[in-house]
Amino acid sequence: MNIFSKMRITHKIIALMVGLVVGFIAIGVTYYIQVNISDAARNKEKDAFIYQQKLSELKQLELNLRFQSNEIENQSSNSARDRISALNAALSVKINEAKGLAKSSESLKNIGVFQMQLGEYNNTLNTKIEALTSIRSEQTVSTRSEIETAFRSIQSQIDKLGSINISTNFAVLRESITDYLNLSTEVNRARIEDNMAIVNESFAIEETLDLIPTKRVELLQNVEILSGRALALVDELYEINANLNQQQGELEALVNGLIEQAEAALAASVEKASEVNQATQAAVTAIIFFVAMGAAIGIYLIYKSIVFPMAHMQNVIGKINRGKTKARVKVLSNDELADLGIAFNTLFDERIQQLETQSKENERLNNSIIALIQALGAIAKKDLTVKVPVSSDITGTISDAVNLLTSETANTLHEVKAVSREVNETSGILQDQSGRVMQIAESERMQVIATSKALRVLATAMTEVANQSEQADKSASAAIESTQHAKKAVGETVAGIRTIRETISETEKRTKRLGDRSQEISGIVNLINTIAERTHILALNASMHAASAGEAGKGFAVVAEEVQRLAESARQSTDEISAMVNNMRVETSDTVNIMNKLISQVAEGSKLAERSGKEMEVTENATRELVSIVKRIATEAVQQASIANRVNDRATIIRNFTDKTEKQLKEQKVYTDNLRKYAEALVDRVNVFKLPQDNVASTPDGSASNISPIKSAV
Amino acid sequence: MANAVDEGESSQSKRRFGFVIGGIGLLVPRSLFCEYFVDEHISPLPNAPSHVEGLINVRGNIVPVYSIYNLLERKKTHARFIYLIGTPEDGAALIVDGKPTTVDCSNHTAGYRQPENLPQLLATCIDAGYFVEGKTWLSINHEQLFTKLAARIH
Repeated sequence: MNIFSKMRITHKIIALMVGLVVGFIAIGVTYYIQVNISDAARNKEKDAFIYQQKLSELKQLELNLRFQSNEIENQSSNSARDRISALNAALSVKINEAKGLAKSSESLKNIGVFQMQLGEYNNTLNTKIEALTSIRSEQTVSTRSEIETAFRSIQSQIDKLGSINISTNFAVLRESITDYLNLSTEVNRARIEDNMAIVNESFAIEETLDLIPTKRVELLQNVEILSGRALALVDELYEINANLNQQQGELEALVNGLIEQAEAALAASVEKASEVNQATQAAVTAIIFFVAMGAAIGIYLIYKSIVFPMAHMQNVIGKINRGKTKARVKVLSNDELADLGIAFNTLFDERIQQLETQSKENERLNNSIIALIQALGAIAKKDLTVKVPVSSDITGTISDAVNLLTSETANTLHEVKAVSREVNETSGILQDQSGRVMQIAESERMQVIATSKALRVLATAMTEVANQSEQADKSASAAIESTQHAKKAVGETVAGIRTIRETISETEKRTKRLGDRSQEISGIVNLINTIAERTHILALNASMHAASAGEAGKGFAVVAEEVQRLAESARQSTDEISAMVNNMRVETSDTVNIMNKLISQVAEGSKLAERSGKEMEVTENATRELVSIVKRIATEAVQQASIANRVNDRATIIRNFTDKTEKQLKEQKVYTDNLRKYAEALVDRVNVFKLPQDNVASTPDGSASNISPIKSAV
Repeated sequence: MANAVDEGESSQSKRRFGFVIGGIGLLVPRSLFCEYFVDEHISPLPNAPSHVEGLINVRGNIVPVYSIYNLLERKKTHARFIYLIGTPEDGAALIVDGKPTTVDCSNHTAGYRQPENLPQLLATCIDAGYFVEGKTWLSINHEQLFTKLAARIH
């Protein structure tokens, strides 16, 4: 049992299989032997039965032969001989067959005795046939006829005696003699003797009565003589029949003996076969019983060595499932289940250690995720001063990325703030400059209007010079004065226009610088966009990793998706900032173009004003000459009037240009106001974020972190 | 290759990662370890078939990159977007049209029809098809697809 418990299950099963194979082979061999023994016994039984059947047929033939021998008297000799020969031939065949089937020497001996006895019987039969032939010969027939005649004569003599009793008895005697002659049997012969005695007794009785005293002796003698003659005819046949009867009895006894012997042999064979069959059946049953018992015991032992350890392992697994992590499989054997138990124990040790490690890691990861979520919540409230704590686990990379994103965004927003501040300041200066330009332009316009009015007056005066020569001196003085005013006004106009030109030029430079700054903002915004894109991809990969982690990665997936949304939000914000900066660049470009156009218009107006100044000088000189050459005034009054008209026209043109300048300046003011609004909007956008103080301290002007929107100076 | 473990037939389990190659939307299980790269340096292999784009280095692991645009009879316009299916140790990557998305197949509606003239390479690797928000998505057996792509190298 100890050895069996130390065997491996494979060896146990192999041993069981080998035992079963050996048992089945033993069952098969035993069954084969039983079948062969049964076949042999059945063949023996069959042979014995056939032997018995042949003997029965032999007995039947022997009976036929006896019947035929008894029927010889009723048949012709040749016919009887043929029938007997046919029966003897059949008997010879059956005897040979019986010899072939006889198994024992005693049976063969008895068959030989029977055959020899049958030969003697046939000889006797032949003798009988010859005797019958002799009896049926003519001589015997005549003798018999003669005896019959003699009996009839005696019958008539007895009848004449008058004794009915004697006659009847004698008739019976005759009848019995006739029967004996026809059939020479012992019975018939006894009947004759009995009837003879009856006849003698009848004669004795009648003789005592003295009925036939003289004839009795003679008649009796005749009767005895005739009877003797008649009996002599068939005595030989009688003896032959007696021998035949004896031989028939012997043959019958031999045949019956053979049959009884065969029946006994058959019974013995059947009994022996039955005994052998019972013995083999008992052997097969015993072997099957032992094989079944061995198989059952083997299967039970294997079942026990498999099921008990399995149940024990299930019990241990159930305990571990219920939390009893100390439970282990007890290894009591040396088979595969013991190996499985050892493997289970190793697996449990590793798994439990792994679960503990994983639990600790999950707890640490959860703490990191909670800290990360808290930091992200603060960042989501636009507070970029928050630093996400960086841990050593998987959230560390995300924390780094978030910190990098917030710090880069904060830096960028600082730069955006600085640029916006410059834009805001430039817009304010530009707005102030536009206001001053507007004021100068208004003064210029007023001067031009005045110049134009003066020129109109001058023209009227010059026109009336010819008609009002008397007032020429006065008018000339007034003209000189008016011309001087006009010249002065034109000079001031030229100076104003130059100032406007310089202001616009400065404004154009600043606007171009603003465009360059906007381009820098675009580059920074692109950098932010790239960082946001990379953060988005990082968060996407983190989300996929968290999804692959299954249940353990659900919390991390939430964080990753939040970071992904944050990155997407940052990217959308950068897109909006980029669109706004592009709008600023477009507006700035338009402003620069308008300013260039304005500068050319101002330059044109300046040229016209300078030319007007020169014309004023000519007018002044002419007026001055007017005093000295009054006489020539009349003659040249027309020319003077013409010149005055031309000057008036020029003044009108200057006034038109001045109006256009004012209109352009108003448009410029609108653009400047828009530029300031955009700058304020940009500052508002950036101020939404709470930025770190260190970076604010490093801004160029060292102002506060949040920029207050500049109130409109208009 | 990473084992794809389905999480039952809940609505959560019907969410899959979807990516597009030549306009054909493909799905892989959400529980599968995947990673997405942009502008990753691909080292080409000399004398390699056209569908083998090269190798990429993912944290020290060499990962093969396949481009099945030619096999799908689609025109490839870039090699910027790489989608790694499986872990870097035993996975492989595909050149895709853009970022992968999460497709919720529980919103699957009637109207799914398998694209016509779908190449044999892809048709034998399809497990199921979904029609989600007007777009057809084909759930593929990525292991079978990569096995066939690897078999085409020899």
